[in-house]
Amino acid sequence: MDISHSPTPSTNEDEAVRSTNNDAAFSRHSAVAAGYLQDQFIKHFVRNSPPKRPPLINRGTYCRLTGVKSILKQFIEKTPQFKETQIVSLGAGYDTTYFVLKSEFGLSATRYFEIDFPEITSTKAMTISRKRPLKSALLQTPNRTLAAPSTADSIKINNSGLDLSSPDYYLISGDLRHFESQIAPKLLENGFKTSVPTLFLSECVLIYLDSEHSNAILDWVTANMKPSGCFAFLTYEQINPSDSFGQMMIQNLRNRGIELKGLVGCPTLESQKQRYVSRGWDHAEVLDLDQYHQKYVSHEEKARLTKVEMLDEWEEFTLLAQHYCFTFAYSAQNPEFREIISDIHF
Amino acid sequence: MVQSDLDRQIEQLRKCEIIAETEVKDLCDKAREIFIEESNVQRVDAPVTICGDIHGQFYDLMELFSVGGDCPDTSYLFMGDFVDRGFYSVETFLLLLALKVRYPDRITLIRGNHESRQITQVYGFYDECMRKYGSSNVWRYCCEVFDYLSLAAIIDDRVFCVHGGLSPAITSVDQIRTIDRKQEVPHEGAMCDLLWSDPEEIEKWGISPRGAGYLFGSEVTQNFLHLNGLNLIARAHQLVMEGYKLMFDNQCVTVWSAPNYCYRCGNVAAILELDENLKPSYKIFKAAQQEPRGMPAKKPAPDYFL
Repeated sequence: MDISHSPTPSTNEDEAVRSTNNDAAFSRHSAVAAGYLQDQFIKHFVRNSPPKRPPLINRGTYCRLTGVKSILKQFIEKTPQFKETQIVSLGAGYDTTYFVLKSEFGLSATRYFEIDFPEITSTKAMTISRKRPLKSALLQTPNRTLAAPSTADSIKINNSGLDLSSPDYYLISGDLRHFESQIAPKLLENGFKTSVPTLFLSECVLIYLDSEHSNAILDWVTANMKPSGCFAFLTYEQINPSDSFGQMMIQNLRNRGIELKGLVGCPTLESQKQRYVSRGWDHAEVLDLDQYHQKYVSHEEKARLTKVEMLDEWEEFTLLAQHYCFTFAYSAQNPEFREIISDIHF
Repeated sequence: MVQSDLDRQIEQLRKCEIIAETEVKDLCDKAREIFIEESNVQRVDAPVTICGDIHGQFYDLMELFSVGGDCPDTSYLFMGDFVDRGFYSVETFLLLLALKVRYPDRITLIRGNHESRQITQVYGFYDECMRKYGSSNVWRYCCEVFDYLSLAAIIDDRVFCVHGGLSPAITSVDQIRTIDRKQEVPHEGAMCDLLWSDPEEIEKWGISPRGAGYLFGSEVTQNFLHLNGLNLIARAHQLVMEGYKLMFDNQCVTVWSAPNYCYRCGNVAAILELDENLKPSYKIFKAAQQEPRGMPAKKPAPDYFL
């Protein structure tokens, strides 16, 4: 670990949080391998024989991934109206969303930034540079309208292998607990602009931070992104810690050394919403994963999923899904942009 | 099989230690000989203690016995789903089977939807057998036993016990008796419904989100009870956070006996004791505190979305 970029010494607790990255990659791989969804890239980020997840975890992973993808897809589709856009994925881990979006939608005018601990970005950068399918996805240039910051379309490994940059994808190492002093300057160095409409994505990331640190991120975004005319935040994370399922969840994760620190300050759907409303954002919508499954997974799709794998554990699925939620919020200063982004929903 | 061998196996299994593959084969053969003689709807005498899903949670089954009394002192009826999900499906099912062979009149086992080749390959029992025995033989022996388990039980002609619930194809208990049950659980039809259906706050029938069985309502429950001279349907199959749940004016009860299901759900469990006059009392219990000392705590942590 590069100490100069990391004022906070790495601890066992950080290591436990980093281990959740493998969990997420395994879950994604499991759902893909079973046939819930398609992702030709995730296989490059899991080693040997990754564990199969039970059907209810696969079904939940499907909901999580399709929910996030649906919002990102709409945001990308609006890009021509915004001229250009940026997506910033906080604590991205081995997430392959960028590669999936790029292969499906081209991302002709969207820059995609991923931030994570150096332990993770270094492995990810190495994997990307070694695997041809990942590399060539990165270098596809469909009707590019972005002026690339580098002279040639190429992949560069920077900062002793910790960071990676390409024409539209940037992997940045750092500690989210030092967003303003460490992350924001690195984003700007890599061509991030506070003047471009931006969507920030956090999947089970803010939840591991003390409220102090997650608030600092939201405060930075609120204070600095106004020139963009429009910025949004999409989160997916745990809620409802106080019922018996929630208490068991906290205890089981604690046994793995994982503390859901953010849950204290943001325990309910309403408090998730308030995070943004209290900062004066225009709009915030929340829904738990069970509501998402009921409302936004169509009958036809549900029938298909049942054929992929019969789900017997409905009561347990409902319980589990009621303890995770999506929040989508935006703040728009430019009225034209407000009109555009208000079209985006789950 | 010599009685003393069987007693030794029971002692071993009670300590959550597996028995040899050859012993499993003998035990399964012997159990099948007993089940083959049992009816599709097994008659049971009160007093009896009714239990719901166990799902391989061996130490919680020990907790159940300490709350409800040991077998054979207490007569037990287990309504299926002995295996899958938990970490000790092998030990759990083999112990129940050994108790059945040792005390055939003091323990009744009926079939749950997880006592099936297809489901156990998805939900863990198959993998566990492979892990613990290095081959699929034990899984195969157990699946052959599954095919012989009764589909339902009736206590003192009044209480109908089944894993899932009712079927639109069944109006009388006698119709259940005509099913050829010695087969893998089919994907549809009466036998499937008995193992897969759920009660729901509707009047008649509904489509089940599980993709098998039906939702059955208050009116069909009342009709079924009335036509067959019964008072109560006791069933399992659905996780209930409070351990048991009464529905339809106390005409149907769900009993759930796997506390902190999947080591994740935080629920309590229940057993239903019927005395000699069929008077019900529920006993609630929590998950076993911890595994006995000396046992390596090698439980993999339950999954979440991280």
